[in-house]
Amino acid sequence: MWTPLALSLRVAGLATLLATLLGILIAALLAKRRNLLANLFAVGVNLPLVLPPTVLGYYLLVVLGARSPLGAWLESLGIPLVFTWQGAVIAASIVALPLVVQSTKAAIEGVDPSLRDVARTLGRSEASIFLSVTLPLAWRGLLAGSMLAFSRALGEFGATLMIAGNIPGRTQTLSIAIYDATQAGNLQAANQMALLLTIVAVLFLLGMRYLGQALAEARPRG
Amino acid sequence: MRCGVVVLAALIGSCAGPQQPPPLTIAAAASLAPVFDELGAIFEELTGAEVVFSYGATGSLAEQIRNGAPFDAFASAEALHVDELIAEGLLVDDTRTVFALGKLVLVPAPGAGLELKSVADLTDPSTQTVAIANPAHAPYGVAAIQALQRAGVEPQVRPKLVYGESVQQTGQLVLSGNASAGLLSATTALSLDLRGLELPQELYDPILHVAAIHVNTPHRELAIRFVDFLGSPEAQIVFERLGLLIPER
Repeated sequence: MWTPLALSLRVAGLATLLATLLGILIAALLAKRRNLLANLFAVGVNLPLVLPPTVLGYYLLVVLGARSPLGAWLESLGIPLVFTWQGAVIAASIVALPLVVQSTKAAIEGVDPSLRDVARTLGRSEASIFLSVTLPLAWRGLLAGSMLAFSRALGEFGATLMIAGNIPGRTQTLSIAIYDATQAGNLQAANQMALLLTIVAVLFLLGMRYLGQALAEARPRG
Repeated sequence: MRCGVVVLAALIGSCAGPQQPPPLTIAAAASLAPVFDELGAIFEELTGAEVVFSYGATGSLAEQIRNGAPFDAFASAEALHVDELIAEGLLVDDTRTVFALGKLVLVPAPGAGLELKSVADLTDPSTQTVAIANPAHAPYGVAAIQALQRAGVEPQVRPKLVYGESVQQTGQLVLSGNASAGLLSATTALSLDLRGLELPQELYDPILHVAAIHVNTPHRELAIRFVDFLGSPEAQIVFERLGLLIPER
């Protein structure tokens, strides 16, 4: 029960970081862009919300697996992703990414453009304006996005099962261990683990709410 | 953001410590979980080696093996996928072993008050829904359809059928009373404490349970020992107790 929990926290934590960093980048690129290419890209980023996770996991397995050129190349570098916990991080990041992108993009678009114009008159570069003006003002959306991302990553099951497998001690996250116990008819173990996962999620989400409220008091908006 | 990168690097660093060689890892059909959990403990005692099982739907496990999953051997609840993987050169033909046969049982939901003496009783209006495993990919689902066809009641029972994704999920449909009755593997029924009627073997084709080792296993000897162990008297006692038949040699 504790090994799968540790693995789940590690996978969800890293996936949240990856999805948040990548999500900020994508949100910054997509914000206020209305051309066809940007729209197509935005739709692509959102696809993991639409596809059933098992199907997504199957595609990832085919793209990153030993039979694909990419998978073979990664393996030759000594970093095989499929059937490792790192593979689980990739799966969880991809399913969590659209949640970060959506809420961060909305928050960035909500920042008063005149503030950026002021920064421009001071001769600041666009990158510097984004990091020191836009992003700090968009923190609420970013925080909400990463909270959603962590929750989604912690509960991630279908894609992870496919790409990382259900290998106890190596890739069996808590969500997969619960599924495994249910399948084996071991309902008592499944209930205990489901309770544990629920407690962890409730504690985390409560903690994040308090953090958000404390931040809001420390730094009133605008 | 820079802080995030530092944390990320630290986390990855802390996780990539010196790695122990992985234990013997066996991919096994999910329907075998109650049996293999017990067999694993006996095997560990006999050999002193650690063994872990990765349970899943046979089709998914086969697909994972094709994409490089690090399994040392594969134990399936049907022969098709094992034979395909042997033909593809991923499993070793010489080690192919039929180690058990599945039994199909007819189980009424607890508290449903149904008295089922044969498959034909499922046509009675008192049975509203009949749960079977999805015949598109679950071996016990295929056997269930055969049993209905050979008993000549398939057309009448067909509208009552609901599918579980696996035979375990099908068992839960029955256990929870969401289906009036189900056609399950004897192993699943036993693991869920469901009592049922064993169906005559003529009603369905033998449900072969087949194992073979992976061509690239780093634990070749131990993997062969495990497959041999599945045919041993110690293992057979467990199979029989948990609802499987021993194949004739």
